[in-house]
Amino acid sequence: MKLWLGFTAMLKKEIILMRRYFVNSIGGIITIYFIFMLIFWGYTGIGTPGLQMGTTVENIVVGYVTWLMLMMAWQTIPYSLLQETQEGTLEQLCMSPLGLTALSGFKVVANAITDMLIVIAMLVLTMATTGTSLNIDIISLLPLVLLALTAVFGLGFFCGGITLLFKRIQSYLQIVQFALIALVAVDPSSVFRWLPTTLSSYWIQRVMTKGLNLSHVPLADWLTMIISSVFYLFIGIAVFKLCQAKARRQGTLGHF
Amino acid sequence: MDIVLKVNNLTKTYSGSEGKQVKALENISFEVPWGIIFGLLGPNGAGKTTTIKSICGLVQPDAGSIAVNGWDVQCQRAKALAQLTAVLEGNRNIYWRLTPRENLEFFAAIRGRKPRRLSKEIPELLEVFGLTDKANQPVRKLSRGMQQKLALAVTLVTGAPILLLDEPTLGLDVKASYEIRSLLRRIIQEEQRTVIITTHDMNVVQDICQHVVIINEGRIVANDNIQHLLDLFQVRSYDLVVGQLTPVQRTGLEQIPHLRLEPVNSGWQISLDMENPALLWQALDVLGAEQTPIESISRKELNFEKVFMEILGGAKA
Ligand SMILES: Nc1ncnc2c1ncn2[C@@H]1O[C@H](COP(=O)(O)OP(=O)(O)O)[C@@H](O)[C@H]1O
Ligand SMILES: [Mg+2]
Repeated sequence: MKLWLGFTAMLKKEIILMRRYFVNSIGGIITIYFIFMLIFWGYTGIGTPGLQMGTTVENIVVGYVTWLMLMMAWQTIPYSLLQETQEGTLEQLCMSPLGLTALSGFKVVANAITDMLIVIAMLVLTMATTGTSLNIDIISLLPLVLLALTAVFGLGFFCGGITLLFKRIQSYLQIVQFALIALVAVDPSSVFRWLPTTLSSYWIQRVMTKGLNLSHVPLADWLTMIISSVFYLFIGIAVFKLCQAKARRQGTLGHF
Repeated sequence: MDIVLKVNNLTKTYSGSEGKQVKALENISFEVPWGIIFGLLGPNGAGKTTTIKSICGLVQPDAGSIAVNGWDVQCQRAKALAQLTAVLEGNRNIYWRLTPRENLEFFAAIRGRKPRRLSKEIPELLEVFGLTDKANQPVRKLSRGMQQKLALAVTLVTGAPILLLDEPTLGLDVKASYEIRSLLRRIIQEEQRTVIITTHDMNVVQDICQHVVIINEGRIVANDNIQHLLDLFQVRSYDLVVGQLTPVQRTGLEQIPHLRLEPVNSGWQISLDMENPALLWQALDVLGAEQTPIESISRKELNFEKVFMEILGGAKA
């Protein structure tokens, strides 16, 4: 009950802020869309070095939107911790009996829900401008998306923990955004399949571009996705807790 | 009397940058009884914030224990934290992008308060704190004093019985500081709460606290009832205004240690800082010899600031 109250409070706050700063959100969407168009023109204009390797416009659209979704999910914790630190509210969250870890978890889920609206808007927009049609099979996509998000939440907790200890981390965080592109793009046939989100991104791609459904995903792949996602989430949370403990010892939790 | 907070042998050394060790707290122990405003007083860098943050579980002490209503902050963290709420020094503590009402709702909810009771309580709180007009404006547009009042209101809406306020009047103008103090007095009178405040401002302590712990360089140098402390120091200082003195009397008085003699319009003022009550009798004997009229005897008004300086001076010596 207390957890539920905490979660709904967090969700409500995120929705209020999203509505209040709607212009910023719109600005963000336009920027994201513009970046996509640059990539798209780059591919179609320069000729076809990428396309020869089986890259199609559909792949670009799906890859881009997947990356966008994962990036937004990943950045929730580190960036909101930076913001809460600057705004001097982090300590209040730490002092809540629910604890910072649980509240951060609520925040990441609440944000994933509001961010999903932006992701869907981008998907519709990019599909419309590139004239692609994709297989939007919600039943098949949902578990894959959840598995990808689980792993990326783990990365978010991991980076969030680091953020608690090193306040001037922003430029490094930007590098992670690009690393996420690699995770989505890398070929999952080797051990890379164990990388966070790589295999689930691959199957999201296949479902949407090839019209496959859940029954086409082999059992081994399911197991790989489930085990690795849970593993990354667990590691992320463990690191997050360790970093909190260290910040408490240093007396640098929050504002200093 | 029920003890709501027990701090036992708290010790903390920070490892600052470049391996520098800062001893912030050394064996701090004190107890806070229920239902009072308890002051933690000390100059800058004394360790007040470290003490508060340790109580709130934001700083991990090197040694010692803290029990909040019987719950240990280290071992029974969630239970202990449920008992307290804090406004930290120099922090905003509340969301500037949200309105006062939204802040109250959010912090109440993450403390597990049910919305049903809040629908009545929040408007009441806004009213008491003079924020009804501003209830739906973003907090960043409010004055510093109003923001601080809202932070205080947020501590109340959490429902926690113990409020910790780190320098609650710092940076406020006289009026806002006054309002915060009277709100605190009111909280104590009307609600079942205990307030612990830190400050380096003696006036705040003298004005609203019933009990004070004075800390300096990480150690407790006094732990007493405010009235006791004042009495202790007041009783030792007397001012006597007397009529004209003969030269013999003046030499006699000047020989008494800790006695100062100053001419005033109609006679002399004798100030006596008494280490030893016998000195007052000696002075009276000298006066009695010539039947010098005594116009007034007063116990010197000593304010808390002087007590504080004297205690700190004693601690250094
Ligand atoms: N996180 C920290 N790292 C290193 N030194 C600190 C830290 N926090 C406080 N200090 C030092 O510890 C001492 C006590 O600080 P503090 O508890 O903030 O005192 P006060 O609140 O009474 O002014 C000061 O010397 C301060 O510089
Ligand atoms: Mg302080």
